Amino acid sequence: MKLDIVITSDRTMITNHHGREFLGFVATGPPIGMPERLWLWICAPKPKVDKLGRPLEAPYGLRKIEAALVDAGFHAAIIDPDHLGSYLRRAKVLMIGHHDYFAMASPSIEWWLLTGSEPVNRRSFIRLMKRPEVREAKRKGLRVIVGGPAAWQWLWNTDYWREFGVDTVVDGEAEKVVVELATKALNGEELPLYVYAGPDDVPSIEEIPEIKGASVNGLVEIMRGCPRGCRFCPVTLRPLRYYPLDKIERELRVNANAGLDKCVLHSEDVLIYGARGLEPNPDVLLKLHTLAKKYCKTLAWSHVTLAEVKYSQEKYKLITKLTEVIYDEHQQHLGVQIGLETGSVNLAKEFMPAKAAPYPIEMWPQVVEDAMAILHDHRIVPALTLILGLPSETEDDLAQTAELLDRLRDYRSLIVPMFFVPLGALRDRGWFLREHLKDGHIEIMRRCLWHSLKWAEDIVSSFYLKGARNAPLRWSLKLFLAYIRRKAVEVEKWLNEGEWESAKERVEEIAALPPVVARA
Amino acid sequence: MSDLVVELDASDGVEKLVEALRSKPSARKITVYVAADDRFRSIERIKEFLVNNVSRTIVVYAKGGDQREA
Repeated sequence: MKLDIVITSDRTMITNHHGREFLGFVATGPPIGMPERLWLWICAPKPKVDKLGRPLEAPYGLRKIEAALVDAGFHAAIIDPDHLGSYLRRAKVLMIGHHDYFAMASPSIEWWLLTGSEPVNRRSFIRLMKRPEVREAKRKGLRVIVGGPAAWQWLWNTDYWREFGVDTVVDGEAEKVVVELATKALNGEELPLYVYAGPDDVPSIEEIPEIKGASVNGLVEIMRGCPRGCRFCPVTLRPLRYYPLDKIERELRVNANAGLDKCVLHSEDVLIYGARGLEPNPDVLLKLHTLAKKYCKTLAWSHVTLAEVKYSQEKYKLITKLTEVIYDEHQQHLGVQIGLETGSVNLAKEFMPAKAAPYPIEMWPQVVEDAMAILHDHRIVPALTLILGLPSETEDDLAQTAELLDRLRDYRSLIVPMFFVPLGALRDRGWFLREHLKDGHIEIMRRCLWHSLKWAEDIVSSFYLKGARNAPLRWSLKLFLAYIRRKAVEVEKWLNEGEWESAKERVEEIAALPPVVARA
Repeated sequence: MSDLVVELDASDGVEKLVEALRSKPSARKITVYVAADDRFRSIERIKEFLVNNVSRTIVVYAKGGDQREA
């Protein structure tokens, strides 16, 4: 098979994470307490490929680019990074996508700054770009186009941009612009260095192509955009678009035909699919889930919002009704990622005034607690993310967040604190770096660590990796959690002995910031 | 969609770009040709502008220098 356009990424992206989407987060950390190869096996095993080197499952975003190009008549396909050599000898264009090329997004940057060690996603990507077959093809005239949700990171890494010979960086929804770029590249025309697809250049629902091959863990998009307008989030900059059910079904069918019996419904808030404003649409949501279960034994939600969980349950008993559709002999729990962001009402008012809607933002801590109780009662396991270092954050804000964490102690969940990364409407704000850490941040990280350790052990044992088939992975994770618990005790002792105070005084010297962040 | 095309010569600062945009605030797509001795310097010259943009489509071409360096 000859391809004019090869689409790929590094191993941390071209993998199915053992069928456990959440294990993908492990790729955002540096290898701790084990060799990198073992770390990579846990989070990013090599996926099944066909005899042509095409992965059975590939990241959904890359599948969309592949679909746009194939629909436009190009010879393009996603190729596993271990099978690039034979294709790059004849291909004219290499397209690469990534969630976090240089480990500058949360939580990668946080683990990097705290440990001083490069996360494996960054290491893996840089290794890919330095491969002899990539360098050789580039030397012979290969055009390289990169994009995806981490495209913005190239603006902070022009040295690598230059070193890797990247011709074009595409930031934003790329389905429309990629066809024009491919045409130019294949015709030998000059390519722009950088393209940012603004809100007026995003594809309409009809223009969004449908995937041709299976996506990782059966992920299918159900909508794009989000009406809540949180200022730190880039998704809210895009217009809101709902996929019709028949379009979703066609993508579910592609995954099912490839043998996948699971799916992840992707949206910034699954519960507002088909909504009128923020008023949920129970009929459409029940139809969506019934449809998904027709093709999948198990399903997960990518994201929901806590306000929508509380409101939809209190008004429509919707969480109960949806889990009645989802739970059966194949599935008895549901995973989801949720932005908790802060426990501070002042910060919530300033940066995410609509996050609690339809409740007033002053109720945010109560909305969080009520929603968490609903999720717990319905065996929905959230991975919550908090933002540390929002602009104008005070010790009082941090104290309110710490207090809220105490109220969440009994609810099954993982809570991951993330350092503020300037994105969305806050792209021009300063980065949160290790020397900005205050006692309040340390206290929050400490509470999150103990909370997450407690519940991670419960989740791994009781929910996530049951059965003999998962035993090796389950035991690897249990050993890792035991190691983290031991380390946490050491850190706790270190903090109690007042070492943090003295460390703060010399933090300028020990910061060991990644060079790229230091430059930023 | 309203378009704006701006050329930045070697002696022009990013202010020329900001000024051009101010004179045509309705522009939804900006194409910028940036002169620099190598094409990646073109990006570095207007990086701050690119980082801060969220609302408009921007296309950047390098002008002059070694176009085929990549």
